[in-house]
Amino acid sequence: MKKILAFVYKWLKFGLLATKKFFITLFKTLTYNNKTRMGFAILAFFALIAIFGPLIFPYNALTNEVNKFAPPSFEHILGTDNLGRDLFRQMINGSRDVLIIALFTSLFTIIISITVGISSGFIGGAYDRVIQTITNLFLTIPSFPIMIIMASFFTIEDPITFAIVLSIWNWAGLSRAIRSQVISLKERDFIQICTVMGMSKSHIIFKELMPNISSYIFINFILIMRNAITASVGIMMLGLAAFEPSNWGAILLRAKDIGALLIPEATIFWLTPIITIGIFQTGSILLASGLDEALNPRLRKN
Amino acid sequence: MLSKIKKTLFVVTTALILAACGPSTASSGEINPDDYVFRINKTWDRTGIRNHYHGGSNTGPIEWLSVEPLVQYIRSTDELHYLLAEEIVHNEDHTSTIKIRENAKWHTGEDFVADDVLAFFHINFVSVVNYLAKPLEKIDDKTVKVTWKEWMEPNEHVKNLLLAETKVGSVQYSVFKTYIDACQTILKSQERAPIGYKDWAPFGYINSKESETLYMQNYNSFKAINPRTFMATGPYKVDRVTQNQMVLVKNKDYYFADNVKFGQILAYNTPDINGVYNLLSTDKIDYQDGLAPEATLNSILNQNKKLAHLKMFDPGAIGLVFNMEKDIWSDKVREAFQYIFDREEMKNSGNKYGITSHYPLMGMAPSEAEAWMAKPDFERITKYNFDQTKATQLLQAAGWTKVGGKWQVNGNNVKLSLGYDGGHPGMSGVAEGVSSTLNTFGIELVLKRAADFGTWFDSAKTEESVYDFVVNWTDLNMSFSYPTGSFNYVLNDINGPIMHLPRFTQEDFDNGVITEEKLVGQTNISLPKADGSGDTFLISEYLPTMYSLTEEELHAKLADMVLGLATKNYGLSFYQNVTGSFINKDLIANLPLQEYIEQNRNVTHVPSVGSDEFYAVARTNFYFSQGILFSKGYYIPKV
Amino acid sequence: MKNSSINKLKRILTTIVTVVGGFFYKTRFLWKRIGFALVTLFLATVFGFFLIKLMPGDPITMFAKRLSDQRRIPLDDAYRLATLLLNYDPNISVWQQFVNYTAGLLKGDFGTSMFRDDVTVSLIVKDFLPWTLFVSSLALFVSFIVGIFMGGRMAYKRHGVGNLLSNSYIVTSGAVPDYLWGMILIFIFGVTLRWFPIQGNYDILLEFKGWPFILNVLYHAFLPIVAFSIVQIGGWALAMRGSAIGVLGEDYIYAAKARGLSERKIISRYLRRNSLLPLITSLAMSFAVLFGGSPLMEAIFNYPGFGSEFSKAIGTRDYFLIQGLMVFMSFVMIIANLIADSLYSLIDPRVRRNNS
Repeated sequence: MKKILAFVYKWLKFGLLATKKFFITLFKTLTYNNKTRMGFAILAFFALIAIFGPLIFPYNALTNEVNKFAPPSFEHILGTDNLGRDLFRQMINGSRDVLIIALFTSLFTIIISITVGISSGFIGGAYDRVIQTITNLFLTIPSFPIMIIMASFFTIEDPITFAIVLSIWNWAGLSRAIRSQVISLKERDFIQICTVMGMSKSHIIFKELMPNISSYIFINFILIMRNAITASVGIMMLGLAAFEPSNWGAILLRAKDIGALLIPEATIFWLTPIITIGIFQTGSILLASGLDEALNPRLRKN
Repeated sequence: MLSKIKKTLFVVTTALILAACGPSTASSGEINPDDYVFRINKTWDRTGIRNHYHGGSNTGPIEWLSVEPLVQYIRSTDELHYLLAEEIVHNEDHTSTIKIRENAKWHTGEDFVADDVLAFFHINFVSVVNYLAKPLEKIDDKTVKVTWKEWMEPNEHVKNLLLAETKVGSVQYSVFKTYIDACQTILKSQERAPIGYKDWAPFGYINSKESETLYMQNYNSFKAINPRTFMATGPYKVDRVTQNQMVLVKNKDYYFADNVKFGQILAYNTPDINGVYNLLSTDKIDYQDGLAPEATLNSILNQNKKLAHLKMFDPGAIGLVFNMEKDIWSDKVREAFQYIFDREEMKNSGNKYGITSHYPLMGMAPSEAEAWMAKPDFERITKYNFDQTKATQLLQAAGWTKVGGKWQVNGNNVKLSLGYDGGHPGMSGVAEGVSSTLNTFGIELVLKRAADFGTWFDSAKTEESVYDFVVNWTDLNMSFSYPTGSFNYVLNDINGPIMHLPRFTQEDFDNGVITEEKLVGQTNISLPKADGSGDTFLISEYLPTMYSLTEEELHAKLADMVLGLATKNYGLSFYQNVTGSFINKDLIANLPLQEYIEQNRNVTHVPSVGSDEFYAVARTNFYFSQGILFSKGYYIPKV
Repeated sequence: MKNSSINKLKRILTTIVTVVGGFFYKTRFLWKRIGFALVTLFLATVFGFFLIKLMPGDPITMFAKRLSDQRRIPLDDAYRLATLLLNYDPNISVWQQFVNYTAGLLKGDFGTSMFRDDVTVSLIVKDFLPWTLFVSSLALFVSFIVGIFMGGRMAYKRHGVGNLLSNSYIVTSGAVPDYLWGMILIFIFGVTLRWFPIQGNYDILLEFKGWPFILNVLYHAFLPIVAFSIVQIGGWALAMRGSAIGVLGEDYIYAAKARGLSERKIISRYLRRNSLLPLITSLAMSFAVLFGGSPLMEAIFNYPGFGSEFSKAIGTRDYFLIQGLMVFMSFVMIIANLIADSLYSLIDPRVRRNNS
């Protein structure tokens, strides 16, 4: 009995220590320099707003056209949109979808890229060649027209579908990069030693390969989020996926369609989504750039 | 010394007097068209324009300003203007005589003659006139005789409008001789139709598959010809065309040349609506038809002080159309929906300047119904008001229950999908208004935006469509305002497929449900007659003969159709659409509604149907009146 | 006598064969790649053809609706007219269409529009691609030059005001997508200040030759080029900085410093050339992407370019044109890929060695 307890205790201690270590490293990395601090702060801020915002500031979509483009007031912090609805609450309401799209596109893209890239690089041979042909196909067919076709074919109705559509054409480049990393790592000494020592393939993949490319993947995660937002806003501005009118891209589409740039009272209306998107993108770029410096040995200042 | 001063004084005075009496063209009131350019925006094919109207390319302004019909109708008022035809006389013996204008000429200099008129109708296989007429005859170089099939003969009004729909001044016989003659050969090789034959039989010959193929081949060769200059007869000639701009110059030999006061037309090719707003704001164009949302409209007028904006009726109403294949739309539910919406607010979301409509879908837009129906009949059409309590009662009577703020049927939350064409700003606005109303009322609504008309219509008309209902024109007339156009749109062309109305099948004919085989495939809807007698009639029996009715018969049939459709609540209208024209008031001398313009350049007064202003304002809309503005001199520059 | 001439002939033939054969052998990686590329192209054609057919929206109906709106005729009349004007027979099976299409492709015919038999893919490429390339390549050129100067400077001088400004520029310019910059530029400089034209590629009221024409074209292209460049400069600056930092860390730089070479000499002799090398291939790839055009930008500026014609083809469901344009773009991408890859191998001898 005592032995079992001691065993459990040892595992718990190990787990806690590992988690503590993980979080300390994470914290150290994230606060490595000003860039990462600011970037992380911005992204965390948006995440909080997306999760808690709609609960604190519920959005009522009832139109009230006579009150359109009202100036900012106590009741409407950012004024109203072209149909008289509160702009501030719309932005908060829309942030959820935007972040979900960004997050899930990144997630799907990375999962696909890792699966394809590692398996292709590790297994090699005919399997590798077939995968490479398919990857080539996805790389050379221009993504934009395919996205339009898919958008009209799939009728994008929710952020997850949107994320899937975006990631389908995004994984090719990353998987290629991962594959080349895997190939070059494969030839390195420590992998060869592992194979000689007879370690299982999964052990090699998860314990040796992954950690080496994890920093690269982590940075790409953030960059893909940034690209996903640019692409999704672009697609929404073409009118192909404006399923939720309070989505930032949908707000821009509305602004464009009514020529809001020409209307002085509508300045806040079209400026707000642009600035908000800008701040979010800035946050991601800062974080990615800072992480690059933190994790890339050449750029480290020490 | 003094003589020197006197001399100078004399010289100076003479000079002054001479200067004052200088070039006197301006002072005598003569306008020199070469001094005036009119700038518009109208899109055409960037990839290039074939030099004749039937070449298959979108020709943009050329279609309005160079190619002419025999007689032109102004959309929404049906006002007729005789152009290439000097007059058209309808005779008692089922014939019509078309007298061609004496000095009508092609831009290349040759006379426009009867052979050219015949050439158009012969090569244009699909013209409606061909199906209603027997072979056309050339009486002399300037006269053409049309013999109508007596059993299908339309009334006089319709005859004029049918002839007005076609751009007859577009096929020069001497150039296309081989192809036109080939058409006649193909035609005559077909089987003759018997008297009383009501199906499609151009000039009295029945179409066969082989002749159709031959015909298509001939047409394709005809289409491919590219003359050196654009083949037309109208007030403006094509001078230069690039991808983004076009220059048209006045045709000095035009038969109404004295009316044409602008020497040049400069056209831009901007499809993006934002780009158009920019062109207006920066004073790059003098005219644009269409509306803009209120705030945009006012901003544009603010930035460009030369512009004024007039508004006129569009013969169509926008609202909701139900997909009748979905079980949820029982009679009581459809009636309930008539009461749920604040139609004024819906109108504001879609088109601030529209005229709110409280009618259900009835086959004709309110302005058209008012114009064509007998007054007492028009007053009898049901009008609905904004009454959510009444709606609640009706829904409950239909078996719906409200649980926790959400409506339920059979224990499940009601969830509806609304489809709309996202390319149309009015419909997008209405969709959002509907969404906010229904969601607040407790009916969950999901918006399904289609990127363009094609995608939307495809999704809407297919079997088991994903749309429960759509935002669309409930009633719209796409051509001249005779009611058949509107009924065809609503029941056969667009809304019919969307509503998934039942149709007669072959079995119905076999089982004796219907007695005429030609009704197979037609809409199977019977409506109650308007006289309250309880009798019913089939829509598919009314429609084909509407062209040929007298005014009294028409009133009776319209009452039946409109009042009957209204009882069915197949949809609801939010507003009668109003469209408009941006006009450079500093450039055009004789605009209507001057008093209104002086008060506020954004004129919100929409002339009522039939008034003098109604005709004058409709004319200012370039899309409605096309080249008439210049041929008849309605646009005159301000000196 | 004959013997020696036969010998001479033999020798000449052998030399030719050896040279040509050697050439093929040395560049065999190239031929492998080309074969690979052709296979990809074929797959792309098949994939695209069938995917396009899945798009909703029947082209005849859409054509009919357009005719109905334009000519103010009822829809059923317009439908009959549409079938008359259509340039293909809708009754041919899909397979047959595909076979016809590929047959044409092999003859060099990328396809003809369904609605207009005088509009071919070649025509669109000839009339529109030059304008797209004109604006995009100028933008690429400008942003490349500005970018590498900015990046190089940032790599060398790691601190200072210049660095801070450049950093801020990179971050903010990348945050807003390029089409939004385009809209803002038009609004400020075209509509409000009226300094630049708001649409088009040149003004019709000029004659088509000489200096005034060229100046007018540049005048109209100015805002689009700026809009494209704003975002791209940041990208090149970052790439250059990364590359330059890498070079600066190399041993031979330290050696040069130890030898006492001046800063300027180090920069001009070692830094520039070595850090630019990897960027050249990126440049080639970026150039390839230009061929796709940017439909949103071209719509905003109403610039007659490749991208907007492609959008229009999609909007009208012109299957043949869409297919043809897509195949053309894939074709270009593949060739550019090939060139970029080969360039890299040529420039960097290490890669060449690894491959053979």
